Amino acid sequence: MIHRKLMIAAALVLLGGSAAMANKAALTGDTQHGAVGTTPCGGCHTPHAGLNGNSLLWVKSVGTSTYTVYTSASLKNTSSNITSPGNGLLVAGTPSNNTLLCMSCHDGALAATNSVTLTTTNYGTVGAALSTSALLDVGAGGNLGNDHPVNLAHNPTLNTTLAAVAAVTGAGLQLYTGGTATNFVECGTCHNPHQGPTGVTNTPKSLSLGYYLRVANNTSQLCTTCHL
Amino acid sequence: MRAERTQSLGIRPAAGLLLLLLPLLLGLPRAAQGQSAPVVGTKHDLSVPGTVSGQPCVFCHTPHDSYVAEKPDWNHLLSIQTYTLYTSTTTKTVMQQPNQSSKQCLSCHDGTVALGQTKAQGLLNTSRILGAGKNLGANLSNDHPISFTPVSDGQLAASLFLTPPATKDPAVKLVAGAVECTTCHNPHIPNKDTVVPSFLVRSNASSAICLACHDPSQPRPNRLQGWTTGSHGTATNTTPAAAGFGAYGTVALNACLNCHLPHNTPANSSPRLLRQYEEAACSPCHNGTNLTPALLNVMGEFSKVYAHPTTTVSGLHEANENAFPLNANRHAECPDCHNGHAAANAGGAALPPGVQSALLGATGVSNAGGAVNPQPANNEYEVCFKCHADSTGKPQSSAYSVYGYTPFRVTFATSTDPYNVRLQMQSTASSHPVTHARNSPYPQSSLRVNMLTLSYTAGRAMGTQVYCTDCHTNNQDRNFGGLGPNGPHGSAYPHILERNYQVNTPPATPGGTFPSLTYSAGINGPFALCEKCHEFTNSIFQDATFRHNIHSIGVGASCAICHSPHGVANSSANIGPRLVNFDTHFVGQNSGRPIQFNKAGRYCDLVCHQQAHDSGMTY
Repeated sequence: MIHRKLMIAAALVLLGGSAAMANKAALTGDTQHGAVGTTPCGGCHTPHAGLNGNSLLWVKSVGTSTYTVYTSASLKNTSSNITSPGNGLLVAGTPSNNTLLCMSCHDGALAATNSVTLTTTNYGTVGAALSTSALLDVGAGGNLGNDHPVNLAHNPTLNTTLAAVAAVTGAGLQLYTGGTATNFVECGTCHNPHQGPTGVTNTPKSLSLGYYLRVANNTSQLCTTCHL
Repeated sequence: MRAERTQSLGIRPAAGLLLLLLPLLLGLPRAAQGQSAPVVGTKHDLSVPGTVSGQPCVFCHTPHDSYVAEKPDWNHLLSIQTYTLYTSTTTKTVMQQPNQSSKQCLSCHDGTVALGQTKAQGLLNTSRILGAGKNLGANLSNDHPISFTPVSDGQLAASLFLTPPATKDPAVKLVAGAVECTTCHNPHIPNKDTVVPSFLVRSNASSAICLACHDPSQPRPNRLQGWTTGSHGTATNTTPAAAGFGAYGTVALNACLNCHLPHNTPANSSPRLLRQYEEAACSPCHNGTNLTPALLNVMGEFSKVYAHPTTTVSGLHEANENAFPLNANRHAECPDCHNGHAAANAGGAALPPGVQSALLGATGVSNAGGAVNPQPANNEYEVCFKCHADSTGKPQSSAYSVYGYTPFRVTFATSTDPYNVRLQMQSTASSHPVTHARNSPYPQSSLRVNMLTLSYTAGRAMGTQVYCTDCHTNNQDRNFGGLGPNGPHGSAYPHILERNYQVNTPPATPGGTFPSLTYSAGINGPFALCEKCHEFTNSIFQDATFRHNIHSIGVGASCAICHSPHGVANSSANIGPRLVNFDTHFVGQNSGRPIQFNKAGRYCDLVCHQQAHDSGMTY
């Protein structure tokens, strides 16, 4: 068991997964993300034969569905289809960006039909159907139109009401750059799937709503990190 | 609940301060600090710190599971209310139920949805309730319209009709080409206007927000033209910090808000969102009180015995009554003569016939009849003609005489409208030079060099044309030395005349005797009004060829018995020159012959004061 964990951790380090390393302990005790698989990591990652172009050694197919994306007359940015431009940290040209990986579970449809991609004696059954909680079923029906937009650049030049990039990342949020994408907002901008459901480890969490938020949001301070 | 709110109020300032200071403590650049923590701590921050309702943003927005079609990520439960919409006889825009954007505001501000009732999180506790006056209710007819695409009506900014449409001020934005709540309001920042912290998109001092769409620079017949020089847009008189006045401190800064309100206007003054109805809208400032320095008391003028029926007639004025003349719905409200957008106390014409400053921008009827095109009126008489010319509704009953003695002229027998002042003024026979320059072919030996002031000093140079208001105005008009408001609001004298103009009591039958007037010179004399321009003692009364003094002093007969002061309409060959047109209450026929003033033959043919006049009595 220990051996497997080390292997996965080592693989993730190669893929820039130091944050995951840092939160290994949190994930180990995590009864949500950490309990998806038979091991804390195994719900999402596999040491071998990762799907989706081996992105992060992912254990689940993300499917090929396109999503209804967020639009708004006041949106300064262009919210492109969620399958592109993708997170350049992963393999360009594949539907394997940060957000899509999250959708492999947090999309009700995909989770139901695509849940079991790796059922071995070593790992057990992965991907039980998600809770019916609407807040967890973010991409239900292939619809991301009623959620905060993702796969779009955080561009304070375009939208002058946004905070500077340095202020956003300095506050602990993450923006994604790679390929043709620069400073993209993805699920991982606000959420860190490894740090435990109750929020940021070193931030007072007593008032937080949890949800793996990178910054506690008990006074909407996560929102106002970007939205000045 | 009460305890919770009290507690939350205790916590909030500390939390807000911390949020404000946090960027400073972290040493972030100023741009990152920005307007730190929008909404937080404002009246739109409904959060209850220390509870699951502690997030200020969540009452309106949610990162997940928002309304699908309501942007941005709308969360507050929307109202299903059907609203009563704004209507007006002057707007060309077709109103419709609120659009998405404004419905979001109304999800709290129509008062039908519990504050804190969200789509994603259910009912959250709130630290605030809807403030007084902030509940617009289901009736939006007394609020500035929203959710409409502007339609050009002559006074809206041209930029609204370009592609893409925009207001004149980049801070005042259309939403998908429409005016929405957020055109004027920014729900995140309460105090861009530091005087009125109502989440305005910018300071509305001098009504800058209003003027972003309502554009005085549009060409005639734009009713707003003249705003930038008009008194309501420029006067520095201070206004009281009291209900009923704008909050900005002076007339110029209050601007549109002197008279209009954007929300919750009283029920009976909703069209055009006036604060009050008809003269009541003008009264708070024009009643001699409230402003510093105070204005003259115009409202008091209407209490005089002879006054325009401004305060006595209500409910008939309608701002779209441009199809002049006014017929059945006769009335004289303030805006019938004054355009509050353009009226000023300087800058109008100094000499007849041009409109004086107070009448700038008012509509009128031309001397050819029909509406001035394009409006507004160029000449003062055009304003008067709206009611006193071709209108078929002019009262002709005995009740009319409450405003003064009703003359009846000989030529009126062939006139269809004896009260049509326009026809009289446009007479080809003779008329006072109101609609035209002086054009009599005869010598005008009686005319003074200067008109007489009320104290009988030299006033305005005579010139070649006169105003209606040279005769019909306040008996204390400042143009001729008085101390009261200018203009014919009211007067101590009949017909709203500026000075004494006495008429004899008619005889029992035409041609009979009647009581004499006693002539005296000066402002209290019976013919003082005529004396303002016509010199009696050295010319008319001593005229060697026609002895006025026999009639005026000897018989004590009023000028009005022989002269029709406006003009002689429908004149016959033998009636008309020199404004001669006999009052048939006094003058009767001689032996059944037509009443005549035969100027060529230098005689009159009539009976008056039991004296027969005929061709044998020449002058």
